[in-house]
This record gives sequence, C-alpha cells and structure tokens, in this order.
Amino acid sequence: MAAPKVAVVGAGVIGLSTALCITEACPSCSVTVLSDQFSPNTTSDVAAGMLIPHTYPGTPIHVQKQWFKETFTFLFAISNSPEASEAGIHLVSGWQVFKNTPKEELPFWSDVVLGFRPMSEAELQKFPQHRFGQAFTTLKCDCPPYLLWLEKRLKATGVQMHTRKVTDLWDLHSEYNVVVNCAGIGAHQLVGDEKLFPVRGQVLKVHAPWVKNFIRDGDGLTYVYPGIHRVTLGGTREKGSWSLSPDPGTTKDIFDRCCSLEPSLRGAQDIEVKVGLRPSRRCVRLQREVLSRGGVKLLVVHNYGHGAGGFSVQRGTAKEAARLVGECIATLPGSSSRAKL
Amino acid sequence: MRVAIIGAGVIGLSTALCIHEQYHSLVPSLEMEVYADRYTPYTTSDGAAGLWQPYLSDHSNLRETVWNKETFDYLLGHLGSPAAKEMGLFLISGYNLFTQPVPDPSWKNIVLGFRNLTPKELELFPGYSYGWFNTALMLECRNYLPWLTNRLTQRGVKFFHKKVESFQEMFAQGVEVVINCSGVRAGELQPDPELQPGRGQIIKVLAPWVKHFIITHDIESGIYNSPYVIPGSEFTVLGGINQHGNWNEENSAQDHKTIWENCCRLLPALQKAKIIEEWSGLRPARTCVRLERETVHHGHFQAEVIHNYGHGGFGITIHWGCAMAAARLFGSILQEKQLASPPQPRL
Repeated sequence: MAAPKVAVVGAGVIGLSTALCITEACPSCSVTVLSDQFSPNTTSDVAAGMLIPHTYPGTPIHVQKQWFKETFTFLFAISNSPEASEAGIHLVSGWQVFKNTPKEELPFWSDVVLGFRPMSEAELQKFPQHRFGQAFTTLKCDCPPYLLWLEKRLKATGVQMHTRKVTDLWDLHSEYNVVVNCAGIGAHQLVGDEKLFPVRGQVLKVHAPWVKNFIRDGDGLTYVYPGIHRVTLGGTREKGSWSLSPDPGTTKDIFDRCCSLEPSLRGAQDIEVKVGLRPSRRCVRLQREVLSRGGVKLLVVHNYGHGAGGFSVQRGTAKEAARLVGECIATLPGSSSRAKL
Repeated sequence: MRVAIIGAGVIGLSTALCIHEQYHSLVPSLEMEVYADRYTPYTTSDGAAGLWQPYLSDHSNLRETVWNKETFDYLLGHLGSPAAKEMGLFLISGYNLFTQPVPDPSWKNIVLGFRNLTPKELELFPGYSYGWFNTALMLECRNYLPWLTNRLTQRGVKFFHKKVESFQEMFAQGVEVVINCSGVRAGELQPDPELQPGRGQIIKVLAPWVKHFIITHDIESGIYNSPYVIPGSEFTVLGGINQHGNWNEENSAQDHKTIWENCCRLLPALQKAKIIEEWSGLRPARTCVRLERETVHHGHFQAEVIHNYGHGGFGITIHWGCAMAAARLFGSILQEKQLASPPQPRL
C-alpha cells in the first residue's frame, strides 16, 4: 500500500510534538498538520511553558511520572545543545512557596527536576507570608520560539502544515488513513466531549530582565516565570469560563499578587496581557477510537485534555499517541508492520 | 573639615557615602570631595560582571570574610526596596564547577541555599565532577556607580575630574583626611610591592536565555583563569582570564579566543550568542586588602590617610564591609581631633 497518510489536527505544543513523534516512529508515513491557528496564536503561546507538572486526578501517578520524565529528558538534551536558544528551551531555578505546609511534601516529580530540596530558613525570609517552600531547577519552553522550532523540524522531515478549520473529523476521511485529534480546547466542539472544560488563565508578559529565578505559589494561582525576553506573571484558574478577553481588574490583581512575591516587579515595563483556555479534563484523553458511519471506518487517535500540564507531558503523551497511530496503521488493509514501534 | 576621596570606583564611592551618612550630622563642617581621573563607565568596577562571590579560600583573612558577609547582608536587605532596580541589584542562582572534590567555602552560609551538585546536574557540565549550587546577588556597577553618585551629589559631595599625583598635593590644599581608594594604581601614590594587577578580559554577549551564573575552577590555573559565564540584566559576561603582573589594558586576540572557545564548550548554546563588546581591566590584586590608617606629617600639621585598596577580583563582594571599616577608622580620627563623640549605635 502507499505510505499511510496521517493528519494531525491542532498545532499547539501537543499537535506539533505528536506530529514529530509520529515521523520518528513511522518514517514512511506522510504527516500533515491541520489547524485553524498556528503560533503565535495557539493556547500554548499564552502559557509560560514551565516544566512543572499538573496532577491529573484520573491518571495513575506512575504514568504521569513516566510522561514527565520522557519530556524532561528530551528537552534537557536540547537545552544543552547549540540549538537551545533557537528552540527557546532553557534551564531556570527558583522556588515554590506555600502559605500552609502542603499535605504532600514531596511531589511525584521531585526526583525528575534538578536539585529538588526544601528551602532553607534564610531563603524563606524573602517570602514573609509563606511558611514552607521547595527549591529546584527545571526547564522552560518559551513560545513562540519553541513552537516555531518544532514547526521547522517538522518541515525539514517533509511534514506539511495547512491552515484549515476542521469542524468534523469525517471531513478528513477521504484524504487520510488516520486522524490524530490534538485539538485541545477545540475538542469540545470537534468531538463533542462534555468532559472537557476550559480553565481560563489570564497572564501578563512583562519586561523585567533582572528577574532570573522563578517563584510559584503552591496554590498555583500566583507565579513569576522568567523567559528569554519576557517574564510571565500569573494568573487565574477560572473553571468554565470561555472568555478570551483580558479583564483589567484581573490584570491589576495579578500584578499586585506577583509584586508581593517579587517587589522588584514594580519596575516592570511593557506589560502585555494575554488569555488562554486550558483544555482541562480529569485525565488526558489518550486513546484510539474507530468511528463508523455507513460501513465506513475512520481511525482516530485522541491526544487532548492536558489542561495546565501540556508542556510538562508533551513528549510522553506524544510518544504514546504515536504508538497508537502505529497500531492503527497495522490494522489498515494491505499493511505489513511498517510502523516502527 | 575637608575630606578627599581618591578614586571613584565601587570602593571610592561607597566609602564616601558610608562616611558621609554616618558623620555628616556629627561634623557640620564636613566637606567631602571625590577626586578621580576615571569615572563610571570607565572604572575597573564597571567592567566587572557584578556577581557577589568571594574567592574560594580566604587565606585566613578572617576580617575579609566578615566584610564579605556584611556586604551580602546589607545588599540582601535592599533587595525588596524600590531602590533595588536603580542600584542594579538582583538575586541570581548558579553553579561553581570543579574537576575534583573541594572543601566548602567560607561563604557557604552567607549565600542562600548552598548545596553540592547532584549527579544529574553534573551531566550538564562534562569534564567537571564536583560542584556547588547557590543563590547569590548581582550588583551591576553600570547602575550602582551612578546610583552612588546621585546619593553623594544629593548630599552635596563635590566631584573633581583630576589625577591626584600625591597625598601631599591634597594636604597642601587644606585637606585633612585623604581616603585612598585608588585601586590598582595605588602604587603611584605610595609604592606597594604587594599590589599587582590581575589582568582580566571579558566578552559581553546577548544571551538572554542564560539565567544562571557558571564559574569553573581549575586549581592549577588559579582563580578566574578558568571559564565563567555571568548573566546580567541586559548582557551576559564571558570571562576566564587573570594574568598576574600584566598591566596591558588592551584587548588580546589570543585571550578572546581562549574565552570564546572555553565558554562555548561549557555552554554550547552560547555559539549562537551575538557579541556586543570586549573589555580588559586590571584587578587590584594584593595578598590582603589594605585597610588601615596612616598618619602623615605635613609640616607642623598631622594629616591622615585611610587606605582602602587591593580588593582584587572581589571588590563588589566586599565593598560595603570595607566602607564601614573605613568609616570606623574615620570615626577614630574624629575622636582624636575631638571633633565628634563616637557615633551612637543605630537602633
């Protein structure tokens, strides 16, 4: 049979990572990325891209840890190479501080990030409202550079990218053998997943180049993440809100909360406000599905619903999705096991 | 009472400010003047990256360890203030790398979060098998020196662009106390065989993705003769040159090559960094900091010199502790002249 044709719907961090893993696992496949938005207009572009996992209540911890470990290892290697600056990947150290000591003092990912340890008394003095903290070093994927670098890598292997709004997966059935659904929050409309809901996040991106360390409140609501050119100040977690318009009251609130963590931010310049809708779900939907309609089959692999943790598990979930694509291809008529697993 | 400070680097300006802050109200006749042939951005201090970090060993100069701590604590106290940005002061974390295990430094409990590197962290730095991680401070002189200058100007301190040829020249003008902060050229005012230049060269690049300082150490080559990368608020400084006895302030192509190749090997991502500037300067190296009083007889007149020079590659690191020590010496001079009672302890 001819080279299997795979369509990846979605060009955020998940869509592009998944496309990359498919080309690696199945070099003979023809892969096309279809999306109505590309960087800098994806949800991923709003995110800071910090590798600090979000815990999915519906996924076993050892699986989440594996996904994070694979992602961290993959990005760590790039951060240590000449491509690091183009890829927008860099190491950053900092602190996660808690007003009240957390139930779990050691998160499941503490041995994946670098140098994880409790903060000393002297370090905590910098955060008078907080009683406990953790210091560690992790990675940050700055967007747009990271997404643009992924796009460049994909194009170099022959992957096509088309701006196209897919409103029904069946529209792709005649052109593609397998469809990979990385539509993020778009999956709510695209496949009618009621279990997927937005968690609205507003952030500020500011110029404050003297901020070299990250600071995150353990409640996940307030954070200061220094990127290559801008510092991301956050944020909000508004469950169920679909609004993409920045709210000025929220902007002031975020700025004040971040300044109380890092007073020098009062001198920040060029404040840009952005909003993204985290594609949230109890667990990431990472599974095969065979759709049927009038005797015709459509092979689908879903990889969406990463919520607040997309960057942290991008590679692990993408590799699993690629493996599922391989399984799909193996079921195609006339295929030998051409997919390399 | 006329007091002249010779030198307008970090030592001269901070000593001037410290003395003026402490004694201006006690000595209404105090007239302070700064004399220097080089002002920011042309001083030795301006070329330094600005990282607070003492040498690995204090060679039993315990009072220097105390002055380092006093400086760190003083700066840490200013971190949360609105002045921090204007001062060029901010926190920074990073790595010290070694090819073999070494004893912990005297400053391990001064900096924040000092610890050894984990094996995974060492994977980032092939060729290095041991290291430290800690959070310290940056104090960028291209901001700090203008900030000090503004504070001094507000206080009525006068500045003169002049190369002072001798202490006598100052005394002949009616200056009663000279504070000698002349750095590497102190030998021109009074011979000092212990003072030698430690020539350094640096390359300033644009590499805003670098968020950590990385200082490598080679016990054989000596301090700062091994590559280092120090990210500032705008530029990243690449260095690793410390040539004892070399007075040449011209950039060397060979040193450029050494710095560039070594730093790119240490951090491959630097290969894509854009070079902005190159600079050479002379660290005022000495076996220990010269911080002491000297009484000079000028005719019938007893004049005083307070020496405060020889801070090598740790001037920024130690500056405030030294300024306070110099201020104490100034206080004892005042007491002897019965111009002031000792300053009351600050509550």
